[in-house]
Amino acid sequence: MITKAIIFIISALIYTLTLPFRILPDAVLPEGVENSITEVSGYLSGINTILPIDVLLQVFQAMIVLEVAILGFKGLNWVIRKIPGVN
Amino acid sequence: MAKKIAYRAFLGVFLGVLAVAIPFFVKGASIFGESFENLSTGDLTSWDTTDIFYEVVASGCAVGNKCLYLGLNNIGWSKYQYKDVSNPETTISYISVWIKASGGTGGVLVYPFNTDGDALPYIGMWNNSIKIGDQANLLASYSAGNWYNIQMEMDSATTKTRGRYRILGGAWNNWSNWSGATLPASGVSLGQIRLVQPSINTTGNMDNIIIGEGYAPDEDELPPVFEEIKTLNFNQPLDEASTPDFSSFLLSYQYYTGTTTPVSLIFNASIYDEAENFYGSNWIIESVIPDSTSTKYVYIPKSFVLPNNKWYNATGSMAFAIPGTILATSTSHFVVSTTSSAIWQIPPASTSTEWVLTCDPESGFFENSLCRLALFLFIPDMDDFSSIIETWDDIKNKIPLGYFTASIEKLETLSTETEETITFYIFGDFTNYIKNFFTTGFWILFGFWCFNRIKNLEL
Repeated sequence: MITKAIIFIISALIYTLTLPFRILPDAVLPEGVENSITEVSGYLSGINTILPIDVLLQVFQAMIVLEVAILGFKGLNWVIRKIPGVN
Repeated sequence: MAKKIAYRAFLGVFLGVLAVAIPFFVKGASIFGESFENLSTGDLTSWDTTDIFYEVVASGCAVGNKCLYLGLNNIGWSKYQYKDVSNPETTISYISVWIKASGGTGGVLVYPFNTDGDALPYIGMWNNSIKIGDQANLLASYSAGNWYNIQMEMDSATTKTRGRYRILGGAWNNWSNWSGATLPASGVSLGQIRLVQPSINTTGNMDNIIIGEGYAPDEDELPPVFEEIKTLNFNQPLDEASTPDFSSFLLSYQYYTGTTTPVSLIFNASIYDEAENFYGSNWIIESVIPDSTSTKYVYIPKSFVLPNNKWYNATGSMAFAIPGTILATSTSHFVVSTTSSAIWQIPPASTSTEWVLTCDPESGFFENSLCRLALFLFIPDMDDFSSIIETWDDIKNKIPLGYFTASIEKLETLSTETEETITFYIFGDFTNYIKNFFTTGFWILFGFWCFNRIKNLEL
């Protein structure tokens, strides 16, 4: 019941925050961008013979996840400090 | 009884009409096509040539980016270049070509010859007319400098031909009547085409020269040169009963290609375990003259032994190649396991585990009640998370997140397509050592970065 209510509130909050995005159209990559990705992929597949590009991307992803986690933690701290009586 | 006879008679007539009608509705399939898109002037030396001036140009073409330019020569008629072509196997066949002439007199022609070396009716522009052999002019006066698509259909049964034309951007005129005044007695088989410039007065261009079986289609249908490999099946390894290791692989494959030029088929088999650790690979190269559609088998011999009782991902891939160029690749994944009983198995079906917590009714009234209360207060159903998951599904394709999603999907598609290259086949082990070295290095560096980042964290 309690956990369910918390999940419901979080869910409603996320829904409200994402409401403006729902009315937007689906994103379609411009042809130029697609061509660029294809072009770059050609070079990357060559480099990938020696240098593991997929691992490099995983490392970048892990770095981003850590940075987002730190930012989220700071944000949560900021919200908690706004509660009266909490320093 | 009468009803049955009437029904059978109707069915017979219907099927008969269908059998007769089908050839009239089936358009032809091209067996030779030259669009000059992948050629340079130097490549034309593979054509037998005399002193005609020819050049592959990349401007002012009818279809695509490149076409053939035929320049002025000193003699005129009978100067040509020719190319051997496949003979159509069907009774009806066709030639289609885009032609442009610089002037009214003179002209440019596609001149076919049959397999006995006898001349067939030509198509092209000559002396102010669009012609098919000696038939009545398809068009009495063409417009110089404009592209025309001219088609000729040949009937080897009746030794007759007919033709039609259209100007670039315009509609087809009606087919001419079937006629066969000058066809050789040996019929209209086809073995060679010659590109002729019958006059010293006119230059010309040609594009999309096509020879096909059946009736000519309204739109150009160039034959596939190197299409993607159609299917590639990675069968279970051989000798599964005698040895528990990967003794050899049997790859069965099917492909399309319209070329008669020998190509190399490169086959590769690689083994990874469930953690994607590379165990080994082997490859072979076969040089073949491909046919149009074929299913064949190739054995990749044993080169490594694997521990038993593990699941493995086996990847089989095949590539068409001419020296220095991979033309098409295909990859197939297969999951197998070796067991102590030496039986190859398919992987077990994955079962989803439902998150269900229950209380033990035998634990007593007080304990059971507390358990039920705790479950009611704190344990959500999986359905409660579904709205959050649905929210993500709703917005992941919307602007601006959708750009990232689309980019990632595009990258994933490309990474799948570019998986395994020739370099891997030849230097597989060596490159893997280097890649493993870099992989380890990247993660160690990431570890240092994490440690430093958290150490200097300011909250």
